[in-house]
Amino acid sequence: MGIPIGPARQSSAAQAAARLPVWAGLGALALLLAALLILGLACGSVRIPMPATVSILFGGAVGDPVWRDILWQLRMPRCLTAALAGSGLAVSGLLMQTLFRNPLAGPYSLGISAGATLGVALAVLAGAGAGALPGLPALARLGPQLGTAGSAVAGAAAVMLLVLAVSRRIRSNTTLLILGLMFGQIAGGLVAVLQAFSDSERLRAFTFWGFGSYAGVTWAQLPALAIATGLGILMAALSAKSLNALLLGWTYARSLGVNAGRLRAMLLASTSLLAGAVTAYCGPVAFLGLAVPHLCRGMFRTADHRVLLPACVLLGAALSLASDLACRLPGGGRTLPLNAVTALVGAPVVIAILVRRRAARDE
Amino acid sequence: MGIFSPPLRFAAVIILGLAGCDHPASGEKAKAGSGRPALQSGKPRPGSHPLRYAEVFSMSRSGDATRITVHNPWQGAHQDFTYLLVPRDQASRGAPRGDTQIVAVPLRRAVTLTTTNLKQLEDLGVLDSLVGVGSGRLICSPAVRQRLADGRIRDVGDDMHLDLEALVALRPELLFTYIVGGSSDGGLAKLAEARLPAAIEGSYMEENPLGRAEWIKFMAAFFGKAAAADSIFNEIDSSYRALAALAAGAARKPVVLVGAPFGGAWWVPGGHTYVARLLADAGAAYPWAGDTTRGSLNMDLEAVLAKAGGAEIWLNVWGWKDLADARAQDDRYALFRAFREGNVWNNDRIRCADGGRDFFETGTARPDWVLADLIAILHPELLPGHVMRWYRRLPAGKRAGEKSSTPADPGGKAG
Repeated sequence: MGIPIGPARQSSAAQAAARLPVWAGLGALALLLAALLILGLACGSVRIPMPATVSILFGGAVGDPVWRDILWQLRMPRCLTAALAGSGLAVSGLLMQTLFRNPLAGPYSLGISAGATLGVALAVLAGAGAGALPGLPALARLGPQLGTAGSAVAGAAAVMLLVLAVSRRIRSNTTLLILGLMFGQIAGGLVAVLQAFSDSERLRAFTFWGFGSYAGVTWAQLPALAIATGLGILMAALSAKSLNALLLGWTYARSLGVNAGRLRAMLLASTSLLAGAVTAYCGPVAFLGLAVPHLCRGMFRTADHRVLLPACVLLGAALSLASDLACRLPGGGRTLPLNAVTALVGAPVVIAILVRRRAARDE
Repeated sequence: MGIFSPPLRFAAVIILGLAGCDHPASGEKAKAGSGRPALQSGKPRPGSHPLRYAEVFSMSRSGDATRITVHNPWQGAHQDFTYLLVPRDQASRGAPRGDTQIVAVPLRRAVTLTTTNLKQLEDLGVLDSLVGVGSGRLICSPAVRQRLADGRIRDVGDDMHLDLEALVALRPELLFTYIVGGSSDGGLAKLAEARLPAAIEGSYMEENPLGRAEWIKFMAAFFGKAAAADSIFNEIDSSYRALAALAAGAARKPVVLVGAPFGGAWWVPGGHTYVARLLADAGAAYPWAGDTTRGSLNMDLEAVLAKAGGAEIWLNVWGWKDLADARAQDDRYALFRAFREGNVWNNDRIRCADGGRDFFETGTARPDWVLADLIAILHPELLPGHVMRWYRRLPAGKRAGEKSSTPADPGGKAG
């Protein structure tokens, strides 16, 4: 039905010629990522001259001693977090779009991030709202035991399972999106109930987390985020071939020998791990997961996951770093909320997709 | 986008509370944004009641009546509110004359939505005329809590969730509310629809701590307690000035950092705020003293670290039990000298139900007590034997689990 995710139609020779060689494209993205990483380390509310930045990063001691702390303790974890989160969200978005064969699927649009948010709310606002709703006390007891990250992943997985279960019955893309949105709203409603019953200090911490930010992740937390993201991406990479088969539907994939049950379980685990871990550490970050896969498809003119996966990892990280940089644009220590920036970057991409599909259908 | 985020207004309130200073109610509001236009300070009218510090309201007497004008009582307001307080026997009750609201005094049934004036009402001895309060569950005052418990005072919610039915049932003669600006009108529109007369309490807009305390005169006028208010305020004033004079003689001024970051952003009280003024009077060097912002500055961690990383004393951190607890949240707090030296103080010594804190309820009324605590922290030698009222030094606390090392150099844990 004009879904621009299917395998490319017979491309003409001219198109093939115009297509970017994969190695060149990935190389360009890697360079872009490196450049943005350096920019991210060099730019901030405190002006540190470039030579000093480079020297400090290579172990030198130059200028004000506080510069070293700023670079190593504040900017470095922030940039690494931005890169990891961007990659994780982009890959999880790609997996969801393939799994549901839906160009508008993503961790945020399907309510997966909202599920993770609910998990975090249960962990952070623990004990609050006990007795407010039937079943909540048990959940609230579970929250602190799993820790913030664990409960975020569990929340993401719960919504993902729901969406998966429904998607086997419902073929319509639009309906699935609306259902995802509704699951997200239910999770959001539960979060609001928890908030109403929690004390002001916990609420404050939770509210700020809800704005999304890469600045709060420390060296101590980075390994966990890196392992979760790495594991999620690795699982996706291992099933790139099956994902390619899946583009033509489950029936076709089975005929090629893909174990559907195992693939579903893998996708469920991978997307929950990616969306859950990123949400736990950075708050709900919108649009990156949805927009990056489309940008990669447009750039490489392919639906091959063996190309799209590394492309999403690189471009996701790069866009995420760019968004984080844009957050610091006002200067003087003022910061913009991350989600404001990602929405301004991501929403136009979604609009473009919708308009192009509409046009394709009208032809 | 924000389908999961709380309503923006609510979030804003939470953010603004971060300035960790002035909260008209429920300990969660502060000013933000840029300054209000300077007042057109005309010549004092004949019969005007001279106010020493307050700038957000003015009073004048003519015969038995008192005219009170509240000027621009929220950030960005360009509006004055005038109240004509007339003795009961002379008032055709509540008939507004133009823009002036007529109030028959002394009030017998009042409601206040701000908790910052409860201490003043208690000091004036007019709690018996109070029939309703906002944010009742956060209130600390034992006298008010007792009345809430036995039903003489009713909790009517807060400006976000006003229990209008309860309010109407109370038949209040006047309701004191406050407005934080933005999309919140302090429930004014709703109150007007319900034909409930309201007066705006704008003490949180005062930059001078004594200016805030002087609002006791505003409250007192409505209860016919002007003389009592004058004597109470004179005592606060002289005690504050004596303390400030004491601090001015301190040998050195330690550098002080205020507040704590949330979600990567730090709301630092600007140079033209109540907090900055208190610190200056307590003999502190405040890194942002030269700044001209009337509200809070939104800064990121690195900007604050570069400017105040060397501060000796760190005040008004939010929601930390102890230093270990703070470190578990973010081990980078240890980059601050005050944190490493264990010189972190919070004003939550007196806590009440549901996270309410007496500091925000009583501190506005008694800036001299706040100042005494601050001086005792900054210059302990000046106030030997001072017993802290609100401030406590955070204990080190137990480090849970293994010590998380923070690699400060390449080759550490960078993945």
